[in-house]
Amino acid sequence: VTDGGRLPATYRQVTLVELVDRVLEKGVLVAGDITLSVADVDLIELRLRALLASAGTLERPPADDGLPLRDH
Amino acid sequence: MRAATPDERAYYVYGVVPAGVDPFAADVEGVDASSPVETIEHDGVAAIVSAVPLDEFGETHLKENLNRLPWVETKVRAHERVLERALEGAPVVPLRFCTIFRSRDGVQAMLVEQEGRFHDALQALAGKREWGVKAYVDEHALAQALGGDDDPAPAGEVAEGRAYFARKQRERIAADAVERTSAAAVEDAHARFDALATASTLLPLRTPEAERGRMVLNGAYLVAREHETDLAAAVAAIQRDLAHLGFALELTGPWPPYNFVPS
Repeated sequence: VTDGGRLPATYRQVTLVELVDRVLEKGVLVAGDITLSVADVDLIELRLRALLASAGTLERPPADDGLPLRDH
Repeated sequence: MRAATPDERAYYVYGVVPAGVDPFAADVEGVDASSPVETIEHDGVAAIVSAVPLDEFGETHLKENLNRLPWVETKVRAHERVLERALEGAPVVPLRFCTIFRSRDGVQAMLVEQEGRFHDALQALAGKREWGVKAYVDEHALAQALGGDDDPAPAGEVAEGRAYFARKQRERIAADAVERTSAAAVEDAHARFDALATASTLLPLRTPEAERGRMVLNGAYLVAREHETDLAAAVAAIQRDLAHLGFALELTGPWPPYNFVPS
């Protein structure tokens, strides 16, 4: 919910649902040496959506203060 | 097939920005924590890239990794993070997740081939950013707000069958009212946001996130910088007007313009 006419902070919580909608489904397609096939993307989407449906919303991991995430 | 040695690298391409803008002076972590995000330029456009190890992103390994959802989520977030950082300084054309070239020359060749397409897209995107507006409705709250008496006590002597059909009919009428009100509110809201946008598109409605109710709007809007606060104000105004009917609106962004580039 937004109040006033203020814009959301750039470093906001981004839900995985939104990322799947955009990062996986959209973007310019160019022929790389390695790219995902449509079937690959469909499969990933299917799995992620199943996961999301069962787990609810996965939020961006904590410690998100604009600093790089450390994932190992 | 042979296994890749750990030091064999390829180049992951996140997107394309105008040449000369280097939004990555500040560090941003890409899909591989040990490689910096950099740009490869060609004649006015620049690909945002970072080196990736083939033992993670090579064809065979990539296929395996795609089966691991935590891996996918981490990389999807990294892809988004890099493009968001780029967006702070310049228009950006996002590329599809996991677009990888075996060499810097390969990236160069792609830029040469796609130059016209990228120039056009960057020109169209200059000074504009993508925003998302989602609306949810709590259908129970809306039904209450519309109908009020959803539980009229049936007279004890009324035949059970008649009472049953009367109740069914009331429910049907109430459901229709909820549907109509919801559709009209969403149409009106989208029209107001669209009027502030250069372009807009409606994304598929998704299943509810948490307890926010049924999603009734999932819009994406390409908005000029000077109209961004107007959009935020419109979202806030509609939220205020519709809150009593059980609606909740959410503004997200700015997004890399995933929905406003030719796929």
